[in-house]
Amino acid sequence: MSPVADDEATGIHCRLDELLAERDMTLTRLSELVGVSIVNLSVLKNDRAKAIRYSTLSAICVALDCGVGDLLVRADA
Amino acid sequence: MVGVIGLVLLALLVAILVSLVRVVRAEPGGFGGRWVVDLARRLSLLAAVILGGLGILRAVSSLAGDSVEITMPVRTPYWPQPGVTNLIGPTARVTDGGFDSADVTVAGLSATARALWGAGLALQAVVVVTVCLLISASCQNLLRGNAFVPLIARMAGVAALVVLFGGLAAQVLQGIAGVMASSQVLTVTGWTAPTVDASAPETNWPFPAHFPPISWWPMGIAILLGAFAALIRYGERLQRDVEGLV
Repeated sequence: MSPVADDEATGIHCRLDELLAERDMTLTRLSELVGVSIVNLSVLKNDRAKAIRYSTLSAICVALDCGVGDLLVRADA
Repeated sequence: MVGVIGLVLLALLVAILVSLVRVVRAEPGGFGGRWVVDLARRLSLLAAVILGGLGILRAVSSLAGDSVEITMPVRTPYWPQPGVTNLIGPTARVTDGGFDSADVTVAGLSATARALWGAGLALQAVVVVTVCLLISASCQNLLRGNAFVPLIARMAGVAALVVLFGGLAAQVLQGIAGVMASSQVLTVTGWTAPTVDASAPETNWPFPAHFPPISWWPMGIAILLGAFAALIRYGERLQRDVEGLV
């Protein structure tokens, strides 16, 4: 799946970087826990994803022990 | 010509076996794996080159050679009658039907008939090469992970038109050439015989055909290719819908 082009802002920011740093967890480890490839997690982390499956969202929140609102925030907020 | 074709077929068979062994060894995932797609790509490319080349060769030789290998229709199904009575050997007899065409080598055929036959062979080669290239390009894109690209849909659409018009036109041209050959070979305006038997048919010769036979397989294949093009376009839309999905 190709990521969003730079000029197609979604208005949503993914705080994956911040949450991983708070928990001292690497993207590789998260990939193992969640079952999503590092490439796709990187796409998510860099706000280049256009859509996310509920199953992926749920798995990430369980792995990071956080809520959806902790992970995804408005980009203009 | 037959010997050359035999050697080419043998070479194609060897190439197929070598490709099969190499690909299976490289990806031992059984049928349905990438190796099947890769094999289809290689074979279709090979077929495009060989069958296209053979087609052009046959088209040129129909114009340049002394004699032409041609399919010659006859007017009604023809069954040869023995020139003797009380035939010994056969335990059964034909009660109906016979040959309605013959694959023959004809010498002295007119230039027009040769040209039409050659043009039909060339068109046939174009049809075969087009389909082979479509298969090869589709497999190539599938191996790259881009199964649904607009180019493949366009190629499939073009291939459908080429098969429909090229396939039908090739049949018409070859059919007309065959009818001309039939007329030139089988039209009898007079005969002589050592003895005359008024009760026997004049020559026991098949009658020349008036109309070429037409088969509608190009229409069926064109419809399939059109459906394939629509499938690719639908897949492309689905792929766009899930672009950027994690």
